[in-house]
Amino acid sequence: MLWAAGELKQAFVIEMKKAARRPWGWLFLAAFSLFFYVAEVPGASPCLLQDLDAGPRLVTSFGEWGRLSLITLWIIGGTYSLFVSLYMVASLREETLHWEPLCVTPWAGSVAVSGTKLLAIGIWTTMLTVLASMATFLKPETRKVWVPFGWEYFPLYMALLLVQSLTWTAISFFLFNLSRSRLLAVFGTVITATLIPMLSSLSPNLARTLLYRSLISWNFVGPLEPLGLIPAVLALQGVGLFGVMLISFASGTLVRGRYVEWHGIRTTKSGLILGFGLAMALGASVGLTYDLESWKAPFVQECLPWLQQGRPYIWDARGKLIFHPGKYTVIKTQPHLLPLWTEGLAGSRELFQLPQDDCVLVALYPKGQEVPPELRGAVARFQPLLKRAALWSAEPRLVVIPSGFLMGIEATKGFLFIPQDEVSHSDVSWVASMLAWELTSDLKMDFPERVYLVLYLLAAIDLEEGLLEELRRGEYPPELPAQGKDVIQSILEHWQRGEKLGHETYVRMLLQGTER
Amino acid sequence: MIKVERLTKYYGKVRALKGIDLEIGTGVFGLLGPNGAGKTTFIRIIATLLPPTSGKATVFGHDVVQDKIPIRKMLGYLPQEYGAYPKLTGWEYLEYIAILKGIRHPRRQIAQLLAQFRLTEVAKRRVTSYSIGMLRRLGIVQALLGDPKVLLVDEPTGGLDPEERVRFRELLMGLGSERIVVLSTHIVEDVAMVCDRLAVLKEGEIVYQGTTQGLIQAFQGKVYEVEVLEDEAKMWLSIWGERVLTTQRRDAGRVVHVLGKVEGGRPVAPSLEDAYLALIRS
Repeated sequence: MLWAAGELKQAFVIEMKKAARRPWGWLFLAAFSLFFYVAEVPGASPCLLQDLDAGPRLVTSFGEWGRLSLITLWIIGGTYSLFVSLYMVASLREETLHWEPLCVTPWAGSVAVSGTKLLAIGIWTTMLTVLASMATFLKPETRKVWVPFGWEYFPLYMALLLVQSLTWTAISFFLFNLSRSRLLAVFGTVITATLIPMLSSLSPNLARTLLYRSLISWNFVGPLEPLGLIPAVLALQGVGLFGVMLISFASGTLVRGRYVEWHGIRTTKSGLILGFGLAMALGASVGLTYDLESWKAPFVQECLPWLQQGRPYIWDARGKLIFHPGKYTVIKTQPHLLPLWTEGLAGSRELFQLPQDDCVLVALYPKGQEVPPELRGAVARFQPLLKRAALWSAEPRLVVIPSGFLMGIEATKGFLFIPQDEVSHSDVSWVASMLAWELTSDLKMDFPERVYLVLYLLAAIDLEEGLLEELRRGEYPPELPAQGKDVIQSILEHWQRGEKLGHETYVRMLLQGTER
Repeated sequence: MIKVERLTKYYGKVRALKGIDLEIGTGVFGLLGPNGAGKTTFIRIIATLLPPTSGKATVFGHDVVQDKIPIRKMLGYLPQEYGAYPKLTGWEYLEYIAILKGIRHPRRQIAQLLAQFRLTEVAKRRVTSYSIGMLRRLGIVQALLGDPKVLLVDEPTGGLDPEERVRFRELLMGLGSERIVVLSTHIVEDVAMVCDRLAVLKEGEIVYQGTTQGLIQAFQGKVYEVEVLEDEAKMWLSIWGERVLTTQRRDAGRVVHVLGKVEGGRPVAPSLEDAYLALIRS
């Protein structure tokens, strides 16, 4: 045994110290913190496939925090890889400057020593990233919706984030050993990381777009599907990336052998790692492509003849989301034609139906859990508003629907169907207005009365004042559909009467038609 | 035992070593020669950092090309241009090198060596804050970690003040009592003070190998001392040219050691420096 665990640990600690003492690393931390604080980070929902704008989202739980870090760093891969690469190259550069006392030691060229360096830099950059992402909790609106759920997935996301960091580290390691050029190593890594998101646009087709979207969103992980739409694909992506990391690392140690000081270093282990990495990366790529493709239906119908299908498909032939598998299952199908395979699911779950044109959205949820735990904090923001609506209907229940099935919020039979992205949308006023508008949709009232009711509902969460201000200025806020300017006066008069009589009393009067 | 047979090294078309044969046993062995004579190339080949173009070099029977790891396990090396990781403290750096050398539980050894080389007080300071002398001492400490059987030191006294240089020489003498120490330098004084045996390299060839006394003996009766006036010194030095070995100020003139008989000169016992310079210039 060349290296005992104790020595390996000590080498790791020393490498970490080297990394921690690079002052520019803290500049990156500050820059990333700022980015996480101000960035409007899109969600990873499957609707990305249809290029729908999910809007800026709040971090609602432990799980979402992990996903935020993971997905953001894929999306800004170019910048992130620059940061990781600079660390790696700085460390390797020191090695080449002081190569003589180093290379004359028996184990300097060992895979274990280089691996420790890689691991230390990977862990260090991951730690800085997680630290930077905590800046999101400085936002009061994030703290308001935060719930301690999804923590069990957090280690998994961090592991994937580490693999991501290690991959950039290993690519830098390879490029530096190939060229001994800091510039090539850093920019080569950055170009590689930047090119990946461009791959699908070079030659777009649905399969490639699907693969690309799945890659950058880690198989569409989200609060409804913490392990992604197809958990096997999430695993394969992790394995594939790990394989790429092993290939880069092993190739780096092999090409290093070209330099005089590394001549004669045994390459058996590097060769084994290279073979292992190739097997992992190729195996995962094949599995990934096959798996994603097998969930794509051969038909393009909007309303699908599910009964004729022996199995579910996630996307139709155009890539449109038609089935959301997992604990929270949603199917878009013809009315009253639930496919046979859903019967097994329906036994232990609650079933909701939402008519949509000629189709129906069928949602199968765990009993009493129409809101996934990770979004409970975000949904709680709207509860007072829903309670107020009980004046004219039973308090409606909010059902969180995976993004990609609905364009907005829709109501039916006491249920409000809200897309997942809208729940955690950072603009609470926008979402609440949509909810309030939908809650008043069945009431036979004229426009000013309906707007008054919307304002009344919004007052439950103290959001009416801003809208009123705009109306008083003679403008329609963007949250409300605009009508003529003369209508504004009528809305404001309703509000004044409500203030005078008491809003609840006045709303009851309006509902009973007393005021007409 | 270090054994070298017909060792040749080319850098492109430049022949840095020209078929060297050499045997080095326990003790401090001096490798003396002007800059560019091939000393560092020789040291690097022995240190397994550079492969020879032809010929053979072994360290305790291990070939420097085939058996790098066994040789590295018994090697301590202080290179000519030495710098440690600037981000680490002296202690951390030594711990790191100890790990790379495969030394288990090195803390006690590191503490002892740091104390021996008067570095204990600065051990927790970053290496960037070290003086050249401290860095050299740190360099020798890292070379001595693991108690190597062979110690290679390349131009170790460069940048040291006189006091540190004296101390360093004493140290090397002590180390040479139980291991092979190869001291590569162009400073004759270092070799004169420390080494029993030496080899003189000139343009990649060994022009002398043997004891220091033997080298001095070889030029016995061939070195003459002349006293010249300062005003005439320039003229005489240009007349004697390459034969001038050393000059030294004395009163209003200079004392010049010249190779070979000169008018007004008297034969003197040559110093090692005289002998070395005479050898190089002959």
